[in-house]
Amino acid sequence: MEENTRFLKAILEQDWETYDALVEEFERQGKGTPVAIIGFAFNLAVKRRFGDRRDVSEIIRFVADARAFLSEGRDLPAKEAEHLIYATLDMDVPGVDETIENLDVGVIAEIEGQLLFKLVSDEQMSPEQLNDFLMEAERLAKEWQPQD
Amino acid sequence: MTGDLSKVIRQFRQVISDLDRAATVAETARKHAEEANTHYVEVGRGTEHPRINQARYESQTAGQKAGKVARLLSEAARAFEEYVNLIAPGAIPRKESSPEAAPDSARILDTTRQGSRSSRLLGRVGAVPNADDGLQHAKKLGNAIQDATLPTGTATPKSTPAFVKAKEPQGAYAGDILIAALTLTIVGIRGAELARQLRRKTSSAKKEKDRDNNNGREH
Repeated sequence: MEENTRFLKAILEQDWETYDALVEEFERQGKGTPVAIIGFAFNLAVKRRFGDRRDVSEIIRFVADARAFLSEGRDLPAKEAEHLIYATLDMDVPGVDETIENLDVGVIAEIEGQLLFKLVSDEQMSPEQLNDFLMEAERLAKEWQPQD
Repeated sequence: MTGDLSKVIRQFRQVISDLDRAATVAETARKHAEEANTHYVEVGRGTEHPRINQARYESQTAGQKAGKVARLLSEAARAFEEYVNLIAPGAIPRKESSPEAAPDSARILDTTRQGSRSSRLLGRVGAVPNADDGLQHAKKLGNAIQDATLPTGTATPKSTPAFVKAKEPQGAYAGDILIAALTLTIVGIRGAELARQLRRKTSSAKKEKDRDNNNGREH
């Protein structure tokens, strides 16, 4: 498992000792937020959760639950969170493209990461299932990367 | 639409059609390679002969590479479609693309078949293994989850899967009161981070103390 994936795993498992160690290591290496692995894990989790359903009200309810679940939504903007899910599900909702284009990739990772935590929590994955899930996301992220 | 534009559109249609056909061929190659890999794995069960291992490995790699080629060809076709529809709106309906062109080797990458919004989002984040943000956003993410789940957090998890640790009951640690007071008096993100670290240290210290007490009872 790559370092970026281990970083995400530590957050999702709330393994704060590993998280602290990795923060230190990332800072030493000058590495920033692991955007790609969060993005692919989020994409995978959203599709597992919603499948073929494209119900705006279901997504609004999910984001509202996530905001209540996480810090009372302090750091989870509702519109941006909903639009990231609409975009991931290729839903044609007005304003989605503009919202996404105006978001910095770091902010996208921050929002997607919080939603991802809610998604995997709701799935009640075992540690092994979470591991497999993250390895799948890592594989897809690698495949997406341009290769020599 | 002028005559010249119509001619350009026709040429683009031809290119898109060629790309879709090529993507379909690559996708078929992927399916065949995966089937071959399944057979190699089956017939090679119980042996570690280098030739069998090589066949297994190479057929697997071939399947992955063919899947990627199919995806890239399909994406190229969609990019052309978007461009044409930009210069001549509605000139190429999405349904014209061959449905089997998009690879299904990875369901997450399947999005190009349904539309490009998801693939554009993946394209943006997928191109950035690590942001150039000094880990600022990752720390905010970590803090949000710690705030929600550690003792004295602000939210109550509705479910507690195996790896999501349930919050301790309020008042479980006497130190929390002091830490809460500290949080109120130390203003700013740095202060909140300090308080969070203190809370975690208090939690660890209590666990160690409990462990020591248990050990003491056993002796």
